[in-house]
Amino acid sequence: MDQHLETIDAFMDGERVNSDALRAALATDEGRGYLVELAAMREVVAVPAAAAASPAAAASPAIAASPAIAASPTIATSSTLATSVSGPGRSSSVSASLLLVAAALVAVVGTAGFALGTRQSARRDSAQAEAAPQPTRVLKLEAGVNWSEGQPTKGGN
Amino acid sequence: MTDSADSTALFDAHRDGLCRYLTRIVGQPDAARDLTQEVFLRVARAGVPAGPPEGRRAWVFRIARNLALNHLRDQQRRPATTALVDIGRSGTQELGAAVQQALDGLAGLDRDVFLLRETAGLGYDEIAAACEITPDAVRSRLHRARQQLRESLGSMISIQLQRGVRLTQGQ
Repeated sequence: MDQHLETIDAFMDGERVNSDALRAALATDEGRGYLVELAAMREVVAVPAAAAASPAAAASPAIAASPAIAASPTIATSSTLATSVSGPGRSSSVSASLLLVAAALVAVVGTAGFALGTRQSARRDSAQAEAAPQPTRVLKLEAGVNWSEGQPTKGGN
Repeated sequence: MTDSADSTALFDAHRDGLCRYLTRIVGQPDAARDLTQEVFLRVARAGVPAGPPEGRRAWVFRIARNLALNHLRDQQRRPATTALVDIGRSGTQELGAAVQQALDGLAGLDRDVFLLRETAGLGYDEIAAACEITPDAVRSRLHRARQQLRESLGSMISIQLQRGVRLTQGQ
């Protein structure tokens, strides 16, 4: 019977199987039941997408190194480098980056505001310097008054 | 293609499968992400070997498996600290814990063969290359693992059967 079930396994795994063997395997109640349970088990053991979110910040594959270290089961895992670019360590580095960006933004906006204010203030000053001074006395000329005739004032001509 | 481009292509093609496989094998998503990074650092340092894509995939997963085994070995040397976080788990977490427990009950190689098939989608020849066993051994170990999981996850499978099933090729 195991031979039949292994055929169903292989078929479900996308491997090429003998069609007669598959037919024979599926001719039994146990074979058909196994196929259905296999499909259900596959869904049960599937890794939830959230749990298996792959690392967004990928380590650069362009790092050069010795080929001798690959595929060796005896090499101890050194995950410090990986940890520095992913996992819990990454969130703090992201926060620090955001803080730096925010500080830079504040500095740029502050400098630009100061420069703009200074320039506008200077322009206002020069405009005020060129304008005519306001009169301090107003002479009213009234119609009918002969300003050239009349009593000469004392001491006048 | 340059070595760097090869490594990048390999990373793009297999990072999700690797992360799923490593998540199941080490049982901790954070550790799995770190190990995924570590795999590709090693791939980048070693340079991608010439050969067909299946051979490259098997090679990448062999590196991942070795790193995962080292990680598990290191974990066993440390005192267990996870028991207290089990309080108040959601249904999904309970399912995940039950699956993890069932997987932990498998023999090491049976579990690796099963996970390489179910979470990473490797073919029998690729699994054989990654685990350094024959394709026939893959077939029999895979079947043994499934029979064992069928028993240990019986109630979960029954619930799934009530919901209905659909045919998938693994992840």
